Amino acid sequence: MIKQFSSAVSAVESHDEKEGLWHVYGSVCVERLPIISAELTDLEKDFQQVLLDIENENSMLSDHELRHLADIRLAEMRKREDYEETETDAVRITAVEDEDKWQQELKTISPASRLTEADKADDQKSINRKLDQKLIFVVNQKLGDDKAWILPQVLREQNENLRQTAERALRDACGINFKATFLGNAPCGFYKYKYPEAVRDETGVEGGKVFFFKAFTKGGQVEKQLNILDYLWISKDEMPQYLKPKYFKEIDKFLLDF
Amino acid sequence: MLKNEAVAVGPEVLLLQLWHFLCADVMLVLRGTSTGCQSCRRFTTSGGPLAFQATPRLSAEPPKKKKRIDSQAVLLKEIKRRNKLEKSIKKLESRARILKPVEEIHGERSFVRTMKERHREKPVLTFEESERRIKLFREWAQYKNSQHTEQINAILTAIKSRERAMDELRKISEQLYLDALKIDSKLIPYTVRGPVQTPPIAGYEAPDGEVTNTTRLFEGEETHRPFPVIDTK
Repeated sequence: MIKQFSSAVSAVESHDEKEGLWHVYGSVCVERLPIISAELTDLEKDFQQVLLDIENENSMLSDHELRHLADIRLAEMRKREDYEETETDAVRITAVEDEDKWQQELKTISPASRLTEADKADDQKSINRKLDQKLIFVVNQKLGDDKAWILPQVLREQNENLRQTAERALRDACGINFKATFLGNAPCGFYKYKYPEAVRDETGVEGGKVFFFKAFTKGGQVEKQLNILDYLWISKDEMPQYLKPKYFKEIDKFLLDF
Repeated sequence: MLKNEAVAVGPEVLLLQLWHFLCADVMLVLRGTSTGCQSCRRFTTSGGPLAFQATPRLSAEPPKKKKRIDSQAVLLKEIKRRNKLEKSIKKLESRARILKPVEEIHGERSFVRTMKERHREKPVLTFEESERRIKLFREWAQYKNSQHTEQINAILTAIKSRERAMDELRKISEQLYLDALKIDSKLIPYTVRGPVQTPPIAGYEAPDGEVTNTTRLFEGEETHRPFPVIDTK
């Protein structure tokens, strides 16, 4: 902690005589947007079915249905004794036959599974999990002598605006190959915490003020950097397991889960 | 005149006369002038009569009949021409006013023709089924309403959170605050695609296909509008 402070003493901001000195941090909340649509709830499924039924009841017969009816009429005609087969009727393909053919064709197409390998192995370090939800990048980072699960954050340096600080926080956590789109220059959240008393007495700095920036993933691989201990891609409902309640409460305000 | 004489005198005299006549002409040609031909001597270098005559008089075309111009007819013709033009202009104008049929309004013709065949019998719903549907609609309305309220509240909370962050930032430094206010021009416009029903298969390359545009072309249209190209990356 001392090391971190000494390297960035210039970043100490004093803005109020009463409040004392504070460190300013830039932090980034990287979200992986959902890739597949969410599973429908029971109510949604029921309602969808009813809408389809009503739609079908009010509809008129389609070309395919007309064709099927014509097929049935032809089959009845064939039963009659005075029926004479025409050339076009002899080679006629029925609607049902076509349907079977289409079904066969459909079987040859296999879409990718909605559950990935990472889902099955419950690999929280993988970005390819929980495809139907937003995933958020959290790191286990050293804070002084403590360590905690937080959104990646770094101290602001002189001549740097906060957006640049947040971008640096991302680079410092996952390397330069990982790309993200930052959503604007304005912070989306704020969190303030006090340092332990010993540190406060020693450095004269009251605590840290963290400004969060939002970003969406754009591709690239996460390469764990040395200044973080661990990282996870977790959804919002998994966060309380890792994050401190007070911290989560602040983050929760700007995490939109829809 | 020559012909008349021949009838009166007989063939021998006619030949002789013709002979003299031709000789005079040759002389005229030789002299290159037609003046004073009366006094010049007639002679020829050949013994026999000339069988042909190379004079410009023979190569001249017969005089044309003078056309009588009927001013009345010309006027009529002019009027006819003008009427024809006017008619074609009118036709063009009326065609310009023909609008493209909108399928949503007019319906497809083949459907309109087979409308009677396409009638579907409406099933009679049981009491339970209709009751269930009514209940479901009510439930759905409540569900959507609560969902909407939740979302609006979440957005309001997020806005509040941002405003608080901006206020705190301003307390720290006016410059940082002003930097945060700047519009990120790289971000506009920003589009996100998805979500889809099933995830993309890694490394899958779609087979090439040919596209045939079957959309009907209307008068005045020469080519189809190009298909929109969707950037899947």
